Amino acid sequence: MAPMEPWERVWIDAEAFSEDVHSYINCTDCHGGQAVAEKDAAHTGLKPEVADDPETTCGQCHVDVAPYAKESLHNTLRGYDTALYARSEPEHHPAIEEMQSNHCDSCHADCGDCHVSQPTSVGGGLVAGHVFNRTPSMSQNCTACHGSRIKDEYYGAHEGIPSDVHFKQRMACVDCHTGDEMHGMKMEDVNHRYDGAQEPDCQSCHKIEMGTGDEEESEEENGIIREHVIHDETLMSCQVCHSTTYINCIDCHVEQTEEGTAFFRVDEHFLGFYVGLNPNQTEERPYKYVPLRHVPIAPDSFSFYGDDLLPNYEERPTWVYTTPHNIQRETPQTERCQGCHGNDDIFLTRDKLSREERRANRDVIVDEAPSMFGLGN
Amino acid sequence: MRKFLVLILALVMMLVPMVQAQEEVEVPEVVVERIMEYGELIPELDHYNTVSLDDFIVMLAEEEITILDVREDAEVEETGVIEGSVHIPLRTLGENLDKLPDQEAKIVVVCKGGFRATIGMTALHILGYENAFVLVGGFDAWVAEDLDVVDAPVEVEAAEVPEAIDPELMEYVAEYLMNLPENWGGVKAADLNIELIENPPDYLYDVRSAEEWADPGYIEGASHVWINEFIPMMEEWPTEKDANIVIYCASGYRGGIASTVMGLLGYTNVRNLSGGTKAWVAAELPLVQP
Amino acid sequence: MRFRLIYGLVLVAGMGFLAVGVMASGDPRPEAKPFTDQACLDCHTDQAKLQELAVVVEEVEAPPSEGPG
Repeated sequence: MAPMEPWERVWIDAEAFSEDVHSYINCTDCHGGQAVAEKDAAHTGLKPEVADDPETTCGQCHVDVAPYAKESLHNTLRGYDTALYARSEPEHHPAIEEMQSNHCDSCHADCGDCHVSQPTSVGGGLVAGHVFNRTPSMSQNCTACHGSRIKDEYYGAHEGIPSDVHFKQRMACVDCHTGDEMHGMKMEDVNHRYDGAQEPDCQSCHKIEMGTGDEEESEEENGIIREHVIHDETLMSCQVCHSTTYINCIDCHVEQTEEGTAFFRVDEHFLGFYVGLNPNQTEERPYKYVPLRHVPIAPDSFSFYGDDLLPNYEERPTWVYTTPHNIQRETPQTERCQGCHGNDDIFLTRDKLSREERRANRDVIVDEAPSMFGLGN
Repeated sequence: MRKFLVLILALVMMLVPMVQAQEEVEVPEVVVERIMEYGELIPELDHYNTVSLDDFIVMLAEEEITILDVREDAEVEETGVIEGSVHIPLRTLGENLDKLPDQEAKIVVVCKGGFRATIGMTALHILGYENAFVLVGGFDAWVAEDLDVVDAPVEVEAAEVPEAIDPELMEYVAEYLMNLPENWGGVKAADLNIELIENPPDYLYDVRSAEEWADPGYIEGASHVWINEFIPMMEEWPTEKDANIVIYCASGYRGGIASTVMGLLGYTNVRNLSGGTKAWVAAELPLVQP
Repeated sequence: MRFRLIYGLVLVAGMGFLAVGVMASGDPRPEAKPFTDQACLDCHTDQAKLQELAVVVEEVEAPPSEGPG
């Protein structure tokens, strides 16, 4: 994404915006300030980003969505709290919150970050001359935050790793991820992106291949794939067979420069594909095996903000349930049985962990790859 | 009050087409004529005047040719050049015709991979250099074969610009080259796919042959206009000069010719798929069969 | 015939009540007000003016972050 010129970031396309229903609303109703010609006076009391509280702004009209959006993970970034607080004690939360406000909160997405401007994390700026997009733009909104993992996987930016099969079929993020999901309307008490039912669900489109199609037809006729029946959802998530190598990061440390500019340093990152035990096995996500991605947390990741802020570091795995966005019809795992069976290389076994991480990941590692014959494995 | 508003509205409506007309580039008649002539010549050109590395090596041994390296200064400084190269960065080519031999001379244009050289070759053809060629794969192909390079290009004394070149034509082409966009008007396969998802180009032209269109197939959404017929069909090109147009061929050379010609005729938003359908397929993006 | 008339009247009255009910329970969204903020638009639709008034941001060094974000 090319950076926007300062004028372009605040430029309203008169012709296009006049077609937008939001052009009937007075500017000051949303943005504050005053409707006068002189710049400083006009900008007194200005709120450039209006939707910090979706209910009192956009929610005045979008009454069906805003209350949910307000509580969504996109707006609250509550998922980070879940992952970080589990590794710390309440007395550390203020320091962690300070860290988050400096390093994480620019990815907090309010209504405008998806529907009218680019997210703050990439510098903000109106996407289309203040015209509101009902569906966010994949390149200007979604991947602005979901970049180094999702975007690079989906677009095929890692050398030698193909783009996602859905990208090849010209599908945008919103073709799978619905507005209901993005606004957090379907699930209650969701504190992490992998809480609740899988949404989107591969089977909602791939009914026939999964054997959830027309039961009247014979197995052969309706195209059920035998391997899908054998490796059902109690055994593994779809990504175990259909995703491929993804990026894993190790040891992120956050700091500030002397001028107070927040920055981070990821000491190591590598491409790999590792299957392990599902750390969040629930009735809705019953998969025993899932791909695991290394997250860059280290015991001293936040030491700039205080000593020993993650005393419970070992209470949550550093290899976490992941849904890589580089889905392929054919992968080394689908090519032949031995792609997985007996192939320790793709399983997260104990020897792949550093000594310091063994305890944290005790519940996700596997002793060895399932053998060709040991179905009980 | 209402009458006043109607009057203003009428004035604005009269002004809008005038403003739009002003924005369009005025293409001199001589440019159109030269492009029409080039269009008639294209079917007769052997491989559209692209030269493979092997043929280029034979040419170097057997013929007197001028190697014209159109890369940027920094690139040439970093990598060196093929021995005997004249170095004129593409954007300044139109202003440095006095450093080229006569219009009949054989000139092989070289860049990094062939994209810019195709623009240069096409511009030279329009200027009347009918023996201008482009090295397929460019300097990268040369070094991939471990062939020798030298540090510096040859110094050329400026001579006279050939009299046969119409000054208006020369000035216009020079201006066009000078204003080439930062990425030379290329679009990468994955980026085109993103655009096709979100904001498809107004026109997507496939300028390969009918055989190639049928097998291996075409990018969904494209229209087929064979490069041999592309320029003669000028009358049927989009009327909006600012339309978002993407052109592609198999490797990028024919697409480069077509996009350069459209650019010279005042189309302001024409791009060429870098690496053509080969790059598209290499990115595992799908082609569809008719 | 009379039955039909009564039936028709009841139907019309019912629909009327329903309509009033819907209007009264109402759309919770605020009523549209006349647009009075043309001064804001005059400036923010004018590219030349925005360019002229744009605050020159001092070149700030990019944060020295390393690795994938």
